[in-house]
Amino acid sequence: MFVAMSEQVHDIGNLQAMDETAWAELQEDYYRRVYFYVKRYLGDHQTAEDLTQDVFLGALRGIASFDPIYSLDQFLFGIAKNRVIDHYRKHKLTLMPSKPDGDSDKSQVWLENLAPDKAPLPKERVVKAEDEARQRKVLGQILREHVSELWSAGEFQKLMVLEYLFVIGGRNKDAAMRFGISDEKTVAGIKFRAVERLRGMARQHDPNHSLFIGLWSPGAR
Amino acid sequence: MSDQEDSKQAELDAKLAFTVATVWRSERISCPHPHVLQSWLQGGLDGGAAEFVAFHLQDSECPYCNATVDDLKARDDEAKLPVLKDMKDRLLRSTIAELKKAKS
Repeated sequence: MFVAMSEQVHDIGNLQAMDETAWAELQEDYYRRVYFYVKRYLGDHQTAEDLTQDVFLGALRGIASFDPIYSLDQFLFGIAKNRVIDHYRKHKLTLMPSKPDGDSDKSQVWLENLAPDKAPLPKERVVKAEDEARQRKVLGQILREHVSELWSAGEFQKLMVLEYLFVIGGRNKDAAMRFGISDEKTVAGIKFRAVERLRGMARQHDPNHSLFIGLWSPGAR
Repeated sequence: MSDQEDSKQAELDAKLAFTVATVWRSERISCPHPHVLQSWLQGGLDGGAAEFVAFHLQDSECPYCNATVDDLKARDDEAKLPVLKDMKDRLLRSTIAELKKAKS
């Protein structure tokens, strides 16, 4: 149910070999979504088109070091996100913190946690970065399984509550109001059971308790 | 539980929530398949699923799924958006020029 946004398969080898047909196909598959993604943040058509062009040129320059741990979707939209952040910084536009109970633009929360461009890592940080990449991959797998379970079981309210809490960063109290739940303790219970479920799933992937910050620490619920 | 334990617990919860939030967003954990978004656009989804998709697009404001929905709408409305066709041609020209530069 929840998969990458493109079903078309693109051969990384051909892209890395700078094959014109491969690049034309990639662009045909993605340019509209990249354009609409960028335009959502910038509004203006011409700036969005310019940034879309920058995204593909950035992809072309970066494809040689494409890391197969990521999908092409993540690669392209990662560049798009960085271009948007660069644009905000260059024009001194403020990324407003999102408030789930306010009217602020919540699409801003999707821009967080990204450095504008990858700087070379010092040696001592390489191992840490590899651990983090492994952690993200496994946690992504676990979360995807859990979300698929909720979707298959028709537990859409729970899914919305979890997305509200984890993705938007909403508070239990606001989630209760937003979803017509009797009180915030019920919301806390939904979150608690989800975390317990994730922990249960994580045990299979992390028998040595070496991957997840907070999950296995003494005292962690 | 003592205050100290409570505080430690809160710190652990915050770390876990931060990790989950970061991975959830970057891996697009709850982004529905484009076919689901298409069905939603056409009014073909059941109550709960339709409500979730609307929440994901309008409350969470997922920029990836909104881009897909904008794309799907534009495809249905191609004639009104010649701007996309023109843009596609310009993008392709600049990419080809860059490819030639990279090869030389």
